[in-house]
Amino acid sequence: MDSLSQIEVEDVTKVYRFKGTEFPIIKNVSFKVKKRDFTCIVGPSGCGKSTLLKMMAGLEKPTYGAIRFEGERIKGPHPKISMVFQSFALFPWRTVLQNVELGLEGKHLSKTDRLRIARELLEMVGLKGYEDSYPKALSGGMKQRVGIARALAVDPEVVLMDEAFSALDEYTSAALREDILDIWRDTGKTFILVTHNLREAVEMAEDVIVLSSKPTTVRRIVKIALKRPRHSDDPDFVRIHKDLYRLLREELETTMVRYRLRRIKELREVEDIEKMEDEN
Amino acid sequence: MVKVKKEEDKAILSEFLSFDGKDLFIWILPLSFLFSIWEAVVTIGIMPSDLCPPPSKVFETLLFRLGSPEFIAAILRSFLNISFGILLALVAATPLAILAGLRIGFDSSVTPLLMLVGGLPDLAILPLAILWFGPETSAILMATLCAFFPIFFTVRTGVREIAPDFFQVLMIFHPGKFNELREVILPAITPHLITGLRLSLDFVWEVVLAVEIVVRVAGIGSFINISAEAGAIHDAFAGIMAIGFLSIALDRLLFGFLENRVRKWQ
Repeated sequence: MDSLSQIEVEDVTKVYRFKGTEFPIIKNVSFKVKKRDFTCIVGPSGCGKSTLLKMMAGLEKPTYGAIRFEGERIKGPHPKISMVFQSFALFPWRTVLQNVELGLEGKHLSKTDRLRIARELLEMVGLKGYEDSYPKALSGGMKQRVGIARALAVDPEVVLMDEAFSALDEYTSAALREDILDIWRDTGKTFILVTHNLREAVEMAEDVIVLSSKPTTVRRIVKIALKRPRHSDDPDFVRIHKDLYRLLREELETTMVRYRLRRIKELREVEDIEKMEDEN
Repeated sequence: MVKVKKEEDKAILSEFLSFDGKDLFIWILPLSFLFSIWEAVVTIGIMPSDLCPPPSKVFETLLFRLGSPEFIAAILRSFLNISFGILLALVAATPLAILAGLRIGFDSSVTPLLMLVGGLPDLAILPLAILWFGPETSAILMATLCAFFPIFFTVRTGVREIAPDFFQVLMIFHPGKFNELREVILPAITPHLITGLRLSLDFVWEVVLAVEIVVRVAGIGSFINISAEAGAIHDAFAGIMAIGFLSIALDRLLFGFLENRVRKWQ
């Protein structure tokens, strides 16, 4: 094991079987994530980014290959790996405080310790005073703050975020991104964020893993050496964003109407030539 | 924490039992309006009072009957038939419905069968039930039969509507097979279960009364039937009124209470 890498994705292939046929959705994906790193995984929609993240969370198993956490193969959810969901996924029948407590209930902690930890985290994410509210009373941004507090309450080494800001409006997600960066800096935990938002990836990541689609493979791993705090109007930021955009754009081209029309035209021309040759 | 919960319950309960002036006005007014019309219609003589007694007479009879052990026993008997019936249905339908909601394979093999049985008019089975189980047990079993389907189908829907993310959240934060049931499935189906029980209660009253009237099983149904046959119309009306009040009491106390608990988060 590489002493620096905390999570190793080794030659992972995920195959779905449907009516006897195998469809590979992820093919031979390998990369490493260093401890305390902030990694973003980007790729065209429907490329299996979320599936990849769910495999890292132990929620799904790779068909071939392995994912290791500190050298140990991940076979199911790991107590040191926690997750933030795009849909927030708060239990509506639990209060805000009880939602944050969820991950602590299976641990050997006294009720007072559990409450103390949950309250501290709610205060950190700016939700002091909302402990006894139910999720229905909260805005989207507040709900995701509860989701973040719940993920941090179990004191994980790795926090996986599945499109954690995608369901939020622009201002809310911008503020929440800054908060996550502060938390990342202060806690020294490893963050892995799946996103389709390239600007988000450039703003947050140390490493961006660019995936290609159908089946998903690693297209490129881009190191982002910009100083923090990063500003989206900084020329270097713009350049990196453009490069990433171009990479994904090439990827998307193959699925676009324009590309397919061109392919059809080319095929027709070949047919026409063949026909003419036949007639001659 | 437990103490806090109990206090919450108390608050909800008292909110339900205490009618402030406005509340009282809202439901008392139409009720007294209805009774006045009824009283007037009978007093003027549009309806002959030997076929339809005035409400004053009905209430008088009801108050008098509430003092008689046989009447109380009849009400209690019907109430127990209904309660046992619904309880049995709850115990049988809930696990099946949870399984059907979770496992598509189980659902597609069992639900069509249940739909077939549920599609029958419940009373069609009554003669066979009496033959096999006797009249007393039949009343309970018929109640079970018709309480089963509303509970089954509402709970099944409830389980299906649970977001898959919730199970993943549980796997990550609080794994354990039993936790799925306790932390996600049961709380998620509660609102559906309340609807199912409400529907059941309506159906079950009808079928239990029918069994009591047709087969003359002891209960408020046979009390009404026997009174009407004997020409004691005011007694029959008192019996009907007693059922009405019992239904309202059940609805307000039991379901109102449960619904308010759910409404806090829903």
